[in-house]
Amino acid sequence: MRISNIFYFIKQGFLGIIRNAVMSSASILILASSMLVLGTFWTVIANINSYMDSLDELNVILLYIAPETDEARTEQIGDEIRAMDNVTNVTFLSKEEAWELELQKYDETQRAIFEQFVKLNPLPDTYKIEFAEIEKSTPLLFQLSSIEGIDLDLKEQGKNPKSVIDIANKVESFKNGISMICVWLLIILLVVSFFVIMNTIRLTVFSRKQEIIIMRYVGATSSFIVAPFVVEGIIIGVLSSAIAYGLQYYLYTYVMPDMLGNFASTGLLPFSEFSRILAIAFLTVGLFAGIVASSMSMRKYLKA
Amino acid sequence: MIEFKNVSKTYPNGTVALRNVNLSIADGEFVFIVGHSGAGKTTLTKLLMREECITSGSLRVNNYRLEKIRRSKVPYLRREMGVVFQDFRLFDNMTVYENVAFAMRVIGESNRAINKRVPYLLNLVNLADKCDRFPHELSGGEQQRVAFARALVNNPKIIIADEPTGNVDPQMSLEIIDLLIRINKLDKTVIVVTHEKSLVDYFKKRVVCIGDGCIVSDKIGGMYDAH
Repeated sequence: MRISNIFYFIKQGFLGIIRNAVMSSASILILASSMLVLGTFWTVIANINSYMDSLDELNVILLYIAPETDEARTEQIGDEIRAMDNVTNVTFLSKEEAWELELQKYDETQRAIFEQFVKLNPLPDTYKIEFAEIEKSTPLLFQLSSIEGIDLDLKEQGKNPKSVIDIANKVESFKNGISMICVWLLIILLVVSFFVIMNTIRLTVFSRKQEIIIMRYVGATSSFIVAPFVVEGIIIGVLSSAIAYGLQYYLYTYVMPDMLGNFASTGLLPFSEFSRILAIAFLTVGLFAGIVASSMSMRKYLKA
Repeated sequence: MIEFKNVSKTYPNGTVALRNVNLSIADGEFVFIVGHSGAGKTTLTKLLMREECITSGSLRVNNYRLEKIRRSKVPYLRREMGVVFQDFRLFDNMTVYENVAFAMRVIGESNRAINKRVPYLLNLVNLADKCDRFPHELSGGEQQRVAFARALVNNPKIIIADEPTGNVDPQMSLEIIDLLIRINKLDKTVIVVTHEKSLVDYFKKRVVCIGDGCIVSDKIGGMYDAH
């Protein structure tokens, strides 16, 4: 391919956009909006993931030992727990230690009052069990609840073993739900952008029908006829991704912190965490939509 | 070399445009294709350009067998021909020079080749002094000469002129056919589709008359009403 031809294609691509300025702008805005929605969901999910990783205490189960269980059995229970799959750390907290910890929550006067009741300490001996994988927490909970010597009254109330796995699971399903919404929104927006680009290129093609007919008569190959329209699609795709990237940066850096208030100052990931992947994703989506839509809208005109 | 052998063309709506046409046109010939409206003249040129496919028979244009040609080869077949239309089909937003250069540009010729070839062609059709004009600034005859320059610019072996004198006055019609005869002398095969009796009779070239999709007569040095 000659250099002069490449310049010709690029010039024709820009001319096509200028000739149909309104539809081209509509395509660019719709495609950029789709990418912006995608990018926003992406950053939100990345932040949720990062926040969940920091919630180590979610991977903890407390197991309360029955008051009548003797010391030997209590120790044995500790060994049984350590032998279980997925368990990473087991800490024993005696009822006395638990009482001490509880007292630390109060001021001196209150503590003095409570200390009188030390013999009535209602807190049970407790095992604090840390585990690795939240997905394998259900069998672990089942195994723990079957251990002999644990507090059955609390078990009946659904508080023994006690975990925050439910919250973790809810956060996980919330995250998955958002991901699904993100995927569907992305698909819908991409389809819409795709048709808008197709329409834009079709209008250009229609306005240049005569030109295409003459090109065919003088022996232009299909690739030569299509190239300016593909260039037009590429320009639309690249402009859309550049606009989307700029807006995403502004939204994430300046608008989202205001919206999220205190949370943003502690937990929001820096934009540089996503900058490269977002740039690549936007450019890929833009180029794909631009090239495929322009090629498809040209098909009809390429029949010899 | 153009050769129609038992060529028939039926359109999808059932209209039979050509029936068992047998016609042979040698290299460098000048042929008038005549006939009333709907006789099949335009279909014949469309088949030559492979704008339409033949329904049966065989059609050869130089080294191309059109009943077998692959779609990717059609542009190269078309580069063997230059076509001129009744309505000129020039680009209003391009100058005379750009209109002619466009035909070279679309087949991927270099700027250097374009800058060398286009002035030569504009000189041949006596439009060198009007190369910067736009089509609407030219007369009908001049526009038609631009169309001829564009048809010739890629040095095709065959020139097909579809009613080339339809939009110009009688004097200009004579000049256009005269130009076609000069082109024919450059060793090009020239096919002129027309229904202008006076022109056909005046130039006394080979005349192929089509009626109802069949060749009614084919005479060298013939007249429009020769049959």
